[in-house]
Amino acid sequence: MKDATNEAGTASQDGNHAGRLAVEQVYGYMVRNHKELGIITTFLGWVFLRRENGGRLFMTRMFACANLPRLRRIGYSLPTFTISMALYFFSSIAEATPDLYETVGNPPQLAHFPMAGVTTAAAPWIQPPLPREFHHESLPEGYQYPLPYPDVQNWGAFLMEPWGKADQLGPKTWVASLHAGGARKRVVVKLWDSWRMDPANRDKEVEIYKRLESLWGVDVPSLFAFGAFCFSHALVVDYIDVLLLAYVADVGSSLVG
Amino acid sequence: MEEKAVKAFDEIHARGVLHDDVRPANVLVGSDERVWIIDFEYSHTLDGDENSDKLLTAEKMAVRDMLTSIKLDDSRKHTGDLILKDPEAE
Repeated sequence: MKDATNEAGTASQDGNHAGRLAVEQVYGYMVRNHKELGIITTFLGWVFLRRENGGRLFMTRMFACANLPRLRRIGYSLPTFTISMALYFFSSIAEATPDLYETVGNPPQLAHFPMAGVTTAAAPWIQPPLPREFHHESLPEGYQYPLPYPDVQNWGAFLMEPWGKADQLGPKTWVASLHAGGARKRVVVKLWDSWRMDPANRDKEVEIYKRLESLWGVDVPSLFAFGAFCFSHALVVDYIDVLLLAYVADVGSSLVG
Repeated sequence: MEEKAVKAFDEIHARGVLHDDVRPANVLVGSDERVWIIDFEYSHTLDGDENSDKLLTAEKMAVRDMLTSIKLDDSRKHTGDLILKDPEAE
């Protein structure tokens, strides 16, 4: 897993190192299914693998899914090809590559890998959900939310319907609304799964919003609240009423024109 | 509109923040034609960073590149990933 000339990091050989476990798991599949070529992909990048008989595995470096400088800084390589091109090429050579059986001993004999038991006894436990809590940020003068904040204890004033297609903005963001009396205020809620992630990402973004407080309502949406919401780390910001599609097309024309 | 977007990023940079995820989805054009910068999950502050000038310059260039790379096809549909409101959903 290390390349002496271009080492992106190291992984301990025991314990729950996510990257090492991913490689071990895919390598296991490749050996069991007699496949010479394999791929690991994440939300951010792609690794292409080739194994040889005798327990040898070769990996490319981690290629970023897009040309984003921040990915380079955390160890990804920015490819000179597109991932679609790589997949097209890789699929072709994979289809033409015969099965490769793993052997052991001398004379070589087919390696035998028994299936794991069907019990879940060894499966890891997920952490319990966080307690429900929510903090409200104070707003700068001039951008004070005109409605009273929803009572922290009164969740009836906060309405979120993530199943509604019109309220889905992205994989982590939804439109929700705050209610006070007969008034209604639209907000955007960003959620991180608290079973898989600690609140560090949310807290980091909150700190950035605080840093940009003087731009709230000017260039940056106002931060309304953050905290634990059901099974998620949550961040609530002001809703921006975005231009209709046809009008943006005109604006876009003026940008490129 | 382009200058508004550049100015918005300038304001963020002036407060020592690098957005670090410059793409069309994170630049909204409001119904009042104001430009909004969103999504600071990958942002970070540049306090004491000796490379801050280089990083800010690179991001300014990325903003310009993004704005000029927004392409529209003949059917007038936006091919970037700007977050847009569906008129049918209103």
